[in-house]
Amino acid sequence: MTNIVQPLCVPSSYKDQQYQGLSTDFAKDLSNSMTLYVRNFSFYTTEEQIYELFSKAEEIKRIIMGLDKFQKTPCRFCFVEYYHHQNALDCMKYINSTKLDKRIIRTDLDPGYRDSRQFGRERSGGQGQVHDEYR
Amino acid sequence: MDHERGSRRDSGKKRYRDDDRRSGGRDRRNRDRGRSSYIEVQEQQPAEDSPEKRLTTLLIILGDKMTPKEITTNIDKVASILKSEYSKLETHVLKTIKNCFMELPMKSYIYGTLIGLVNVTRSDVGVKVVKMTSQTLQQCLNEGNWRGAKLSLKFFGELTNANVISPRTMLDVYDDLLTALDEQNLKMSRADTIVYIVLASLPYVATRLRERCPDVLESMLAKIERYFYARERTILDIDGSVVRKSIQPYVGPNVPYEQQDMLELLWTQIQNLKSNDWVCPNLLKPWSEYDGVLITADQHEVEKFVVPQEFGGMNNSLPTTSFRIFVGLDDESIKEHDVSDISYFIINDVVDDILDIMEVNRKDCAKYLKDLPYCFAPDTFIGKDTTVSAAKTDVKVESETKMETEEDSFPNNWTNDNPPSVDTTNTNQNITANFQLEQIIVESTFKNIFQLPQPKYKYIFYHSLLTEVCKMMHETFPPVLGKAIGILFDRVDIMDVECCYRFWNWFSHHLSNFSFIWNWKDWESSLQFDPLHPKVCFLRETFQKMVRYSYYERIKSTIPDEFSSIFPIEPSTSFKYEDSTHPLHDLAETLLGKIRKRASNEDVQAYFKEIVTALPPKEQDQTIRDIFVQCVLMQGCKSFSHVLNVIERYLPILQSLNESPEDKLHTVKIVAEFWKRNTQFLGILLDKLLNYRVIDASSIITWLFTKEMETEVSKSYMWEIMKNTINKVISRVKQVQYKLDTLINPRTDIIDITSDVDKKVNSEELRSLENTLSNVTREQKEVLLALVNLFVGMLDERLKEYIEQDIQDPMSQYWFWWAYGFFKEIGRCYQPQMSTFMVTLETVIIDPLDTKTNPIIANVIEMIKAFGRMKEASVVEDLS
Repeated sequence: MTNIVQPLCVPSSYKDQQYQGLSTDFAKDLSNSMTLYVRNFSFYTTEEQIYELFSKAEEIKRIIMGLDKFQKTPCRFCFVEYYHHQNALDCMKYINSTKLDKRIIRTDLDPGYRDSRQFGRERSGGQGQVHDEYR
Repeated sequence: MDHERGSRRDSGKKRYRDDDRRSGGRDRRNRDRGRSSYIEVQEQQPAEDSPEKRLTTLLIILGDKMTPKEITTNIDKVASILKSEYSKLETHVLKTIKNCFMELPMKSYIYGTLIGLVNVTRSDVGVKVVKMTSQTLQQCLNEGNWRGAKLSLKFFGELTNANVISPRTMLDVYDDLLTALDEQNLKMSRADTIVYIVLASLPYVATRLRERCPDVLESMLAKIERYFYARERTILDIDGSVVRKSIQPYVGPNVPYEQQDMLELLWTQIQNLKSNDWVCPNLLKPWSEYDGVLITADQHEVEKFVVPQEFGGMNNSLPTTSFRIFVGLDDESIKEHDVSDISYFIINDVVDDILDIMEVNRKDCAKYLKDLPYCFAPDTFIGKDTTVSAAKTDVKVESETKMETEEDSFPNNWTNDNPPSVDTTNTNQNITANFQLEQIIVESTFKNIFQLPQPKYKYIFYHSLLTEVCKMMHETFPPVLGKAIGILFDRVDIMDVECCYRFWNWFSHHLSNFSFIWNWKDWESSLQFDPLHPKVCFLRETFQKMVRYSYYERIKSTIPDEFSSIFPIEPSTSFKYEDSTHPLHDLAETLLGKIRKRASNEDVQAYFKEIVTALPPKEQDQTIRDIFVQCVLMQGCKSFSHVLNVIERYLPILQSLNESPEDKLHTVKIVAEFWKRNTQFLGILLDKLLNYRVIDASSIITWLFTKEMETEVSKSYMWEIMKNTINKVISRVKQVQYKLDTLINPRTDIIDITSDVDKKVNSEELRSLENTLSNVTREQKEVLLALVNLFVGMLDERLKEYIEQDIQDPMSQYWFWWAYGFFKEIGRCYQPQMSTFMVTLETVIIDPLDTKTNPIIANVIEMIKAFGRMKEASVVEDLS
């Protein structure tokens, strides 16, 4: 554990807007999280490309690709689930802000995938653009 | 040896005046830079503008990008502030000083001098800092944290330089540690660790020790020298050279330098320092500017240290070997470093520390590496002028967002033929400089990537770090890295096979971060070699991996046509029943239709009953398995998620079709055939089918050694599947062992309120876990034994053919080069597990073959045994 150098595996300002629970629960969920919310890759990036990169941290349990609410087409975000919390942290340290398929991708610790989270939540049906503007 | 500890100086104290250096003199530039760049204290986060925070920032950034002159004046300023603020913020100050020397090891000398200056008028602060450092050292010793122990010693050395403790006291501290060398049955790995932390910290303080206590220093060195003699004999006794050889990244007679044992090399470097009267011109010594003042200060006592029995065993109790890239080349743009120079050790050791400590933040890691020249004397690094104030040349603050928009459009600077780093036009200040920073960073990072058996962190950390350094030093670093890639490529045929594999894994990943730009044409001449030549395989596997990160057409378009013969085939499925002329085409189509419509397991099984009569009686089961598994794969071929869904839905059928080992092997073969044109999918599927226990580890291992796989010996996917499979078996053992351990020794922070009933449940759980453990351990043993057996069988058969063909040196045959190299890697990698059943291994593998066993195969078994001896080795000589 370092005190001077800020580890890259700490939760960012990212938050699931529809998370049911207090912010302390959210923080607690993240401290055990095995899931990453990944965004900013291209519309054409496939699950297998994500698999190739993220499995460098450890074996992946599953990937849930984000879909446009209406078109049911890929919409530039996904959830990557590991078997251990440490693997998710390693991704934050080693993979966040590196390139995949021409784009710099972003990862965030996530409290865990639940049904319906795979669909874009914006009015347009998509998701992700708004977050990018923050960064 | 019962001299009085430390010598208390009682000369009159001269108060150090600092009237004009009160807090108002705080250096605004530094504070601003610190705030907006990489320094943030993470613990308990005092408010942004609190006095604690301001002081912390001030301490952390002290010395960053400062010229030696600025360092001296700034230490003075901060010392004044520290003196006035200390009483209010004591705990905080002590904690921050500790964090600084433990986490910013390149700046120890700054913090040492700082405390020295404070100690002149506030010896109470000196006492507290010495006490805190002692506690830190003892804690590190207790926790087996050898790096922390080394850094504490290094700080003690700097405190000695700054006259906070006496040279005599410093030597007493060393003596406390080296006492361990007198122990009975001293483990070599323990002694190595202690000798290393002493020698690694010695250069910083050596001149002081030589000045004041030459005799004690001499006797300490004599003791260490005796250890080195004893160590050499011990290594000879246990045939330790086998281990040393087997962990060298380069193999064979054509290695351009001697791959020395790192500790032996350090001893040589120390002796060279000694013959140079202990003067290392590359170290910054701000304390020497204040000698006149520091001499008036009080010196403090240090408590005795005890090295607990458990301390030692750095690097997994294995020796480490020197690794170089920029050596033996006829290239004027490359600086060949003098490895016997103590500065070579010091710089590399600091880089190692930075890599290790800052693994949590690769961006900061890269920044500190870039600024490293400021932590050494001005003429240490070629082309890095640290005597010009950064205030003028470097006022721009790189904001995070700006960096990241730039990196996207940032071109890969490979092709810069004239790296600025060797441009000597504006380096009149340091024509005597001996070190090339970029080369050192490249070598240190690859030393880790190629460390055998494994590096400390995951490979991807070192990959991302190199990417980060490329961005951070985008003018000077990529050309040097590009050179390194060329040099390593030229040497792939003298590299350990595992390192060769790690090299293409890194290279493809690295290129994926830099738009896949590389001057492939430079390597065109390699295409004339045998298809199994390491260079050809390196290229082929790099392309294969690049396709995985991107997509087929894109990569194909970036690779010159000349390479098309080794470019991978386009990934696709091979669905046997797709062909409408296949006799079972209609059956398969109907089944696929049912699966597509998510028919229930019962419906599918009913369909099997329907069609089974139409099949040849002897092949009914086989055919059904083949059709069904292929249909499942076909339905799931769209993506990894799709196939997982289908597998989960039809798990009951899949399991019922795979009861015997033969069934399982058959399924593995079906999957391999279906995905022969997409090895990524093949790997994922075998992994998941193994998780669902449709197939097992033995079936995968057996398949890997079938005749038709012999052509695949130089391909990544084969070895990845092998290792993933074995790792899974091993991790099952570890998991069960962990569960059992926590059951037997529950966490102490949970109060035990278990009633008798609970305890009974526990004992049942215990029995069941013990059962599971013995099962998974047996599986581990069986799988590893089978693996070694299959390897030996395969290699032995080849060797016999070579003898018939009158081939003298099997290693001249590339097929053998690959297969044998991976066999060696398997032995090296799984040595900890294999050593638990060495006797069985030998009787099963070696004895039945006995005289027929080729010595080259027996060597690997010998290597596994030598690893065990090395880890357990005791130094027998009496060193006292």
